[in-house]
Amino acid sequence: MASNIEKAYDFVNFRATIVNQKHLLLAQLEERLTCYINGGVFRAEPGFIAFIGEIITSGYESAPILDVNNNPILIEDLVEFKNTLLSSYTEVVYDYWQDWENIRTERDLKKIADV
Amino acid sequence: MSKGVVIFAFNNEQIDYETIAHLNASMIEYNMNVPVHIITSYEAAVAGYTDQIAIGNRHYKDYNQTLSFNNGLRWNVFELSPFDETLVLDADYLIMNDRLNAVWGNPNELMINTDIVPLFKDEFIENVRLHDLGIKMAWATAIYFKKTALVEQFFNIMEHVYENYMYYRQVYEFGGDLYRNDFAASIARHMLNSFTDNTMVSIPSLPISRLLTSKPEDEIVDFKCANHIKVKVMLPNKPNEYIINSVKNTNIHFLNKKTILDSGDRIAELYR
Repeated sequence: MASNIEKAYDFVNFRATIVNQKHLLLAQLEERLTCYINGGVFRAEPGFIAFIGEIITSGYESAPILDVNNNPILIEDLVEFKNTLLSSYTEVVYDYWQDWENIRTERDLKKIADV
Repeated sequence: MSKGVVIFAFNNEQIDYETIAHLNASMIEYNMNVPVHIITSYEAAVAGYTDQIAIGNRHYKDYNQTLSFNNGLRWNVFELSPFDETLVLDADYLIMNDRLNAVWGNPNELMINTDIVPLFKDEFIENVRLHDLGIKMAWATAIYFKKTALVEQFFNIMEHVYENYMYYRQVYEFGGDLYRNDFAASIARHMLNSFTDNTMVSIPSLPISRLLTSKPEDEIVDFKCANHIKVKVMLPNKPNEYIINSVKNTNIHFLNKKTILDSGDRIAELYR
């Protein structure tokens, strides 16, 4: 296994490695931003989180919300739902930012592949 | 309502699909905490479907050999699945997060993806459509379904396509003689929608809308830890040139069966 890795780094293309690692981080981000509740599938995105906040501000405690496939899903506790979306978003994007920073400043290909 | 994952695993002369399925089952149980039911040739024989397993022969780049392509019977998953809600996965679609748990209890009775994302950025995807001006591809790598009348018809159409493959090849103008579940699922989705794209019955994508997919030449270099792998990505149109990247917490369809089997001990160690 170790010799395979050594061999791999002999041929490696620095720029392609960085660009593709960012591409794979984005694929990870997209999967992790998916949230689910009561059979509905939602994306923890800033616009959607703000929209839920707006409904709460308008005085609603629960309401049916359309999921990503336009299915109406009854959300019984909108505040808890918003908090779930918000914490998912901040956690996932924080991890993404950390990995991104590691790639941005790293010049050792072995370490980039460790991100 | 019972729920679980079903994987078909039929060995050929070289490739031990059953071991691949068991390795992936341990990854699924680790990440999703749902039961996994593996349908092997033994189970197919008990059900009386032995004659529907072998599809023909195809060349496997990872083994550089032409081997039996035992990828039939998928249309019988409606009958063979022991679950009310089933997620049927390819044995080589390695599960490295819990996001597909979003399917359970979903109002939609059938979900299948029409998009994939290649392991190498911007790589040309050959089968976005069945042919250049044809219908959209639906990828049979992952299908979620409930046991309803609509879903039964979906799998009936897949079986009909299998039995009349040359006819459908002409009608839908796709290439190749070898039956593909992806093509049959695409045609079934199209026909169920009254021969439109996806307007009559709603068959949405799975919660992971784009499946990360590698090429047969790509390899697993190392499992660093659970849900974190180093991959050797071959550069398109540059034979023998490759880069090393990492993939973590992302499900990945690894077409290179040999590299999964080579990592078997490590997977078994990490996901026991």
